[in-house]
Amino acid sequence: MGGPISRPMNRVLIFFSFLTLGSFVQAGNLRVASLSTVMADLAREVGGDRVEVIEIVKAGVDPHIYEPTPGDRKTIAKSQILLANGLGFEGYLNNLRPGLEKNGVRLVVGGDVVKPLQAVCSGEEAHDHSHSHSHGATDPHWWHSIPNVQAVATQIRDAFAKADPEGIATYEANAKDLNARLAALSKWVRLQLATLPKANRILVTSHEALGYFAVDNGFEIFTVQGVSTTDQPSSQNVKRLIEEIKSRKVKAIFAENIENPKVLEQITNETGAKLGGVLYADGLGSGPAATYEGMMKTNVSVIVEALK
Amino acid sequence: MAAYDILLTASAPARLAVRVANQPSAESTGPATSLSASFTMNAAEPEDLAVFANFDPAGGNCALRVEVRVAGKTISDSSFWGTGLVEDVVAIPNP
Ligand SMILES: [Zn+2]
Repeated sequence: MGGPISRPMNRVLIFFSFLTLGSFVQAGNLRVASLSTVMADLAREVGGDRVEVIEIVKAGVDPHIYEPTPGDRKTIAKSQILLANGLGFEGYLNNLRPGLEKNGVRLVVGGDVVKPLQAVCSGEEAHDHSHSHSHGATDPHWWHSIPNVQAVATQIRDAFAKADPEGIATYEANAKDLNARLAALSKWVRLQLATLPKANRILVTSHEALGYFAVDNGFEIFTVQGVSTTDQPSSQNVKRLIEEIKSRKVKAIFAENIENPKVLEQITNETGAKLGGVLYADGLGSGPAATYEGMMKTNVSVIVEALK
Repeated sequence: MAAYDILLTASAPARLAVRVANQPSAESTGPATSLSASFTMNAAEPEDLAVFANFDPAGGNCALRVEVRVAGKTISDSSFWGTGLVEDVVAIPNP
């Protein structure tokens, strides 16, 4: 029988409406903290409106020397998922693990699903071992290979689907769209690089961050430092690099958005190679490089323009 | 050095082009179903080919075939499909 709803019943309905609304808001906001600017971008793409992405490590910060603050740890503890590059990139990651387990935060490590690359030391034969990275170390900068990024996008899709099963259709559709755009980006990169003679495909950078890009696209790579920005360049290594640049007639060398290009400037002065521009080595930047696609396009355009 | 003969074949008339780093590109003067070009390259490290076929977008799915020959022998044969602009890169195998 329909009739006017009594005042107490009205209050009960309002109470349940709030409950329903509350659970909807919660389901619509999967909280994801990220130690990786690249994975944060992928998470926003895959998660869309259902996911709130909090960047712990932000663009422009040197992630090799970053240490989470107590505030960061609190933010991570309030999240359902934490994204990390892995492969040793976040040296503090193992220290975070007990807190993650205690607070039920699921850890998603991109490096777990990529094909790892062994770091190569420049001037291996005449090595003086005065810098700090260990031989046989894995290169953690996996995002410079687009197939790796596609694998991690799929990994993020699956993690989101597990944490928020109601959003599976959204995550699947967004990840499919993202992977198609990454495939188009891959073709764009190959078309741009086809204008660059193979003999010119030599990358000289501050630290060894572009190894995956080099392998994918047929570049040789020479670096002042090892796989970390904390590796100290030795004078012998710099001397060897200068000889290599001169003998190979390398046209340009590249600075990185976060590094101090002082050593590279010294090398340009002694070799006559020009400073080819700034590359985004350790993650995303600002402006056009604020997205993965934009970062990759910026790097490729800078490389082609300087070396062709 | 070796002469690489390139043959582009399109499934429908299209503006065809093939580009090699540091060399003048070869382009059809208008819509065509084939284009031949020859590039002299270092046989130890031949450059990649950037190939383009701009089809009428209303023509649906179209194909571009790219054959690479050296001294009459086919060393690479690949096909690309798409609608409108079909573009890709062909890596020539080292001998
Ligand atoms: Zn790095």
